[in-house]
Amino acid sequence: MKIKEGFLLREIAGSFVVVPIGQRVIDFNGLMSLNESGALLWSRLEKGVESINELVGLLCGNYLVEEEKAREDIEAFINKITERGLMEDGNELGAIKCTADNELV
Amino acid sequence: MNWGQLSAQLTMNSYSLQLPFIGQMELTTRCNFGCRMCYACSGLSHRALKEKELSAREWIHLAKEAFDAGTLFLLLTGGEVFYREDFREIYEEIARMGFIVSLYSNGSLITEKVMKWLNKIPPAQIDISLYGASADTYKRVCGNADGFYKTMGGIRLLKAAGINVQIRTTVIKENIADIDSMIEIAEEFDLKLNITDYISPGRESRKKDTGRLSPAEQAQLLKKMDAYYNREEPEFKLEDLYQDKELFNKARECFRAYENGGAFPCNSGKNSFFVTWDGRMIPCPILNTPGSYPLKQSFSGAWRDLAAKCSEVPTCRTCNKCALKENCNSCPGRLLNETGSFNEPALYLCELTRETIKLYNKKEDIYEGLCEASN
Repeated sequence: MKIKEGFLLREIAGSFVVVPIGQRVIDFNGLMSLNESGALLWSRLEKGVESINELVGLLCGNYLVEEEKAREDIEAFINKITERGLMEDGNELGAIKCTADNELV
Repeated sequence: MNWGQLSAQLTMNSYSLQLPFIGQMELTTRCNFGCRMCYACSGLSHRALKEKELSAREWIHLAKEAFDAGTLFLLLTGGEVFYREDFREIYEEIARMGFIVSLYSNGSLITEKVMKWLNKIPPAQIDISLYGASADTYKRVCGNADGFYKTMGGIRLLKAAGINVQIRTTVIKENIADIDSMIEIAEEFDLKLNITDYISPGRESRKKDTGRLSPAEQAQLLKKMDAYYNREEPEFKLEDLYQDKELFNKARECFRAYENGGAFPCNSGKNSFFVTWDGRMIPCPILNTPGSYPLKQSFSGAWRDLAAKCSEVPTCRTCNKCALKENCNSCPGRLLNETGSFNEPALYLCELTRETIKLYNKKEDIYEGLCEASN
């Protein structure tokens, strides 16, 4: 699993935001916000992961959270970004534009 | 959280942290047009200007430092940015950094060839200045008749590429008669015509004759445009953009508090900056003092210096006590350019405010047509 090229995660004014770059600007004009754990997952997904277990390990290694709860949250997170066409193996970008609801986590 | 709410939240945080969140970089003051109302025109030759303007490498360096210092929204402006021979090099580097990049342009140099590379890395928004509705008007305003057709072509290309385009105009005596036709042009592109609400005497040479409207004419124009915007979106309320009404109220209070703090009734030196073509950091496009030097002081050092200096700019005492204050758009930049002082009321702004109040207090609110009135 990997986030598509063309998005940059920034920490700015105390928030984590994802900025579209290049042609992504046309499909995705705006910003997305992430909370701290969302930003942690995003950073790993930018590099790509083999399975969801890697993300579960990452989350449990950084936060006091039960493995089951972490897996549940991660699946919801992956579903959200897949629905929005942000994953390489997901939908086409732009199928759902993020102008109305751009808070991922 | 939608885009407006997220943006508001970030803006509030940038105020409290005093981050240089919003920036403008004036890559050049050279231009293929020669508009008399241009605030950036210094009267120097293109050759002299080119020698003094920052190099591509310097702009890219400044943008990297601005990025690290917390700039999110970055506007690249001119002069005419596409007139710069190395604009592509500067733009492509900056657009990849992770800003929300916007461009101001007259649109006349946006050709198929430009679109080939701009399409690959488009800006979040491009504002095209429209100076008239015919070649004749372009000749009068910009000294470039052909500019009209080229600008139309540029807008068409941008729209066809799906780039977010806005059209704005600056109205002076030479193009006031075209206002309705310019609105029609914008509508043909499915856009609204935005208007510059005030024309400043030049930033570089204050005494220049800008050809701007008289206060009475300007007040009529602004009223007409106000009616036009209300007609376009009669039910529009800023509040409706916010699902979270508590956040809306909090943001409104926060913006009011910061915008009313100090002499500047805006975000200049509070979370925004402007870098001139020759590398000075100043509060806004029309105000060339106070200033700092980001290439010498580092970007962050220059920002802190500018913010401190802006907080020391005095508020005009006479304006502050004036009964018309609530309806007047005076600010340090306008006062300095109009009078040469931060402390002196500007006759043009006083008259504009009086005329505006007079117009809005009239019982009959139907606009009778500006062109006839100005003739």
